[in-house]
Amino acid sequence: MIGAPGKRPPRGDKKAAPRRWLTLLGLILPTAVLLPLVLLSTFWHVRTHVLLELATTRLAFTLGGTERRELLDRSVAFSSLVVEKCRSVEFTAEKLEVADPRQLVPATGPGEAPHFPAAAWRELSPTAPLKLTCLDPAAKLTLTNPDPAADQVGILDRIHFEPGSQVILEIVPDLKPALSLEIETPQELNLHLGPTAELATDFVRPGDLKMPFKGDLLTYRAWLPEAARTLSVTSGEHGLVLIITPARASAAQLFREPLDLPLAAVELLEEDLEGTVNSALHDKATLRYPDFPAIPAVTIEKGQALGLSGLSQARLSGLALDPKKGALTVRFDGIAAHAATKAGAFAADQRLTLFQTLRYNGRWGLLTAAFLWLISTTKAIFELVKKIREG
Amino acid sequence: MSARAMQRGRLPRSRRRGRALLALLVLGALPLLAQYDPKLQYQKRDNRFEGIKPKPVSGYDVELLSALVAEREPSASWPHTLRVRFYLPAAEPVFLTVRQPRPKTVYYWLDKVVPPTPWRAMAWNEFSWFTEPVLKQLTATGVDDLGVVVRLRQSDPSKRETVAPAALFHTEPPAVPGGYRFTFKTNGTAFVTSRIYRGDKEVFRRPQNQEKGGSPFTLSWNAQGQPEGEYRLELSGYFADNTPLAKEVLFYHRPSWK
Repeated sequence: MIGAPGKRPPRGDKKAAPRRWLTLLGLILPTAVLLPLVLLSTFWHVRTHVLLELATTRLAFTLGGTERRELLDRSVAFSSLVVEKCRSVEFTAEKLEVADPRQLVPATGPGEAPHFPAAAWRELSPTAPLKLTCLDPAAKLTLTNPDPAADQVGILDRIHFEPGSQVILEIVPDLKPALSLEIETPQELNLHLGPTAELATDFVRPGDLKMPFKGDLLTYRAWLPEAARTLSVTSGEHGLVLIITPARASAAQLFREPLDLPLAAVELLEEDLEGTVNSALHDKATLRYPDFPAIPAVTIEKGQALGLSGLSQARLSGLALDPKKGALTVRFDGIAAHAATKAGAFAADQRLTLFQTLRYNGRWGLLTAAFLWLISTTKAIFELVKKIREG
Repeated sequence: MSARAMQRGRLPRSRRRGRALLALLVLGALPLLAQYDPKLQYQKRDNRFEGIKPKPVSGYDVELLSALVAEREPSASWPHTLRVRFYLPAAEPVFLTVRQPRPKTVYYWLDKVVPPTPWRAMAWNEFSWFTEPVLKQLTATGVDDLGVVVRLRQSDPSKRETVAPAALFHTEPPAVPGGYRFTFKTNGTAFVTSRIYRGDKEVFRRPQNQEKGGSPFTLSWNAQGQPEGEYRLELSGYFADNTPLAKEVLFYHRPSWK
């Protein structure tokens, strides 16, 4: 109320004007503060617990935790094994033969393998045990069964991975897909072999053995004594690469189950020939938010790139070789500081927003309801008390 | 300029900027690359582009990863400087690449070099670079892990390509280039036979061997006593799905460093 001109307004009127402003401010202020905060929370991405299920041809990760861990099943039978970056290979042979490389009968079509005629083989007199050295950076050793019909040549040793070390798994496309496993820490493996084995060596020196043939690429056939059917492989300083073609019996269970490997980092990207970073996904992937089951899962298409970083409490909980798809099926979860996908020219942040974490969080919902109830009840009581006093 | 650069060069500038921004966004979420100091990432450095890159997609059926003179200077640790020396038989564009034949999650790559003086035809040429900025920081890598390809005429790998085999050393080049080592990889399991010809005469053969996809394989040819001139390295065979495999690499053998 405004007083007459020239007169001072009554005392009660002077008080009424600011009170109205205060009431108005009281109405506007919560909206003015809360609305920008709500808007901001819809853009503000927070660290998010994500669970990924995907198929990929390549998975690289850094092992977390503080203990050595195993990744592969404890007895992986293999039908072929390639060892790269070995330092030495040692075994005892009852009988050892080497083939004349000039007599190799090349394969002429799929399903066939190059082979040596009986006349190509020359017996050697190995010292026991025989030590092959592979100091050349290009050295490589391939173990197969001399009987092409046989499915198994041996069983892998248990392989331990050091915390903080990087592991690279990659599918090698073939009629029978193989798994390339790169380990960056030194290894000493004892492979359990069957009674016979064929060893194709490339740039591997046969110790003191006098060789009847020259060439970097030589093939040996070994008969192993029943009491010592072990082939020991020592890696180089920086680990080794194994290309494992699992035997049929092991293909379904190549990795440990249940698998619970702590991860420090995981990477699913590759670079194309133009230098652009791309996806290594082999098929559609699913990204879920395990803490918020009501939030729909995100489908990541095959061509999309996916990057995760700043992982904490991450663990690899499932890993399997899918021979039909020629891919690894992977399941892992963790709290990601960054989770981004890129589809063509569009990049998207896949972390949850603060708003989503509040909206879909049951506890926050309950607290908000309780808070609103408290506000409305307090207001109602306040009005009631006021009316009683006035009346 | 490399093929990558040329291909990028064809894109409009705005699209290039967009791509770069997107790449940065995704690279920000690339944890294993982020383990390395950003200073190590592939970028322009003085007279070259050098650094680490994410693992490449195997885009070629058969790829030549390295063509080196067989002799290597031993080095237990990274020397201060690395040098590449090659004979250029004719005045042709030169595309020098130094890389790791078997990349890990990230891999070393050096290219787009600017020689101190223009490359000279019918002469030995040399390029050197300091190992301090990048190589010395890659503790799990050694000199033996590096491959070198000096492509002539074209920067891109192709079915038929011409290269100049190079010597990689740090103090003295090998006394004579007594042999060569060519490293390849296939992008699928394949049966591969390798032969080297002078004209139509076969002077070397590596027997057929099963090569696993992505696993580098090397053929080493002792060229001692072979006359100077152009040679042709031929790879033939087929992949596991019966797709034929063929590649030719032409190179010039110069028996003396003089």
